Amino acid sequence: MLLFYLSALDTQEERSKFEEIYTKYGKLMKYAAYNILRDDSLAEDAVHNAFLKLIKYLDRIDDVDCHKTKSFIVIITESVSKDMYAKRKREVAVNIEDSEQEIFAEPIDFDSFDTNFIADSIGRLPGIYKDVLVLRYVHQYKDSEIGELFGISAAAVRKRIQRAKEKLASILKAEGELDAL
Amino acid sequence: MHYNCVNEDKLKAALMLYHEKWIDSMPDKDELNDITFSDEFHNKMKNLMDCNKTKQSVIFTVAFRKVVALVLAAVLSVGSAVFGVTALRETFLGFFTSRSDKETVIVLNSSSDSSESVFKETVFPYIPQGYARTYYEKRTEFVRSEYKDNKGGYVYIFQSRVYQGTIYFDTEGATDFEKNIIGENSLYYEKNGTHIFWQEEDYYYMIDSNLPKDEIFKIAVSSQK
Repeated sequence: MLLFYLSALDTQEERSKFEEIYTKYGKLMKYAAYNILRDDSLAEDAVHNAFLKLIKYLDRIDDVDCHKTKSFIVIITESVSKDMYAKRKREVAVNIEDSEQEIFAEPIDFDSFDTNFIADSIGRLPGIYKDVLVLRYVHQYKDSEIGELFGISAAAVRKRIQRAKEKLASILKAEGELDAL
Repeated sequence: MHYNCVNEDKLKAALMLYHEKWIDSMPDKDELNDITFSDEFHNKMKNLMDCNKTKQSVIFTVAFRKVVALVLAAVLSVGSAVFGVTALRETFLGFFTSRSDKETVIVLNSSSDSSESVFKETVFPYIPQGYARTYYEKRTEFVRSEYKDNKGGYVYIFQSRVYQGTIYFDTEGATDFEKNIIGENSLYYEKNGTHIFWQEEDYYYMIDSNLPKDEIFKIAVSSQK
């Protein structure tokens, strides 16, 4: 059956928004892509692909000049770049569900940690975990929407979020014990 | 032992704080001054943005989306087979494609403003035996037809003007992906059926069917005779 959809910059408003994003974040996107791909030409390809992806989400961007938009754009760019990197390395597409190791952590009381300390620990999480947590809790995306963005199922998103929390708990516990020394 | 008892409010507060710190850690405008783009990149972006849309084209895209939505609504029983496809990128004549594991993107670029001309419907003389037209819709910007037989066979044919825009084909897991099957601006793939897309002069065409490749190919080329 027919499996395509048409997207375009239908209105002047969308076109202006697109141009504003390009002007404002184009260089940052290339910076983010280059940090992963370490190749100028590939980084440009990644930025272009990220923009193709962004067209689909333009209607969800209300304010171009805000932190949420900035992080959303960087997350998309990094996601596209990581996919390209994996393919160039002839690796099997990163199947997080299969490749992620089981994470075990003993129960700890989150409330016993300072918010700032937890925030710093989130920064130490692998990118795939940070991205889903930010999209879920900061951008308030649904599992299905996050899944669409990364090309995975909603169930896989839920699993990834669960593992992110487990990993965070293990980091907090390890660092908490270090602090106690 | 799994840890799964997170205080959601605390986690959210920490994430908001992390988010702000992360944004603050990103390079500012001055630090990005040295980042430049190639002319090729600028041209590609211009193609994406250079959408001097006419009123007609907006009507077209909105209407077409409705058509597609109707079709998709009837169709989204897509299997989830994952099939690695080599990423490729290429540029040719009126549009370029970008293909990843998930989808194939075609950016259409109309070299001329054909919206003022009369829509010239293309005839497809070859339709397999046993098929009868069950649906026909003609608008100022596109025409579509549906043919069916009494054994579940179907053929959908779209013809539309070429406008600035981007078409996304869900080619994840597609087999027998082939480009230039009927001319330079064409692609064919199989996924839950057979699909062929091509651009010819001011129009692009899509045929979608559960017929085998040779049959859908015969339908397509019959229009070119």
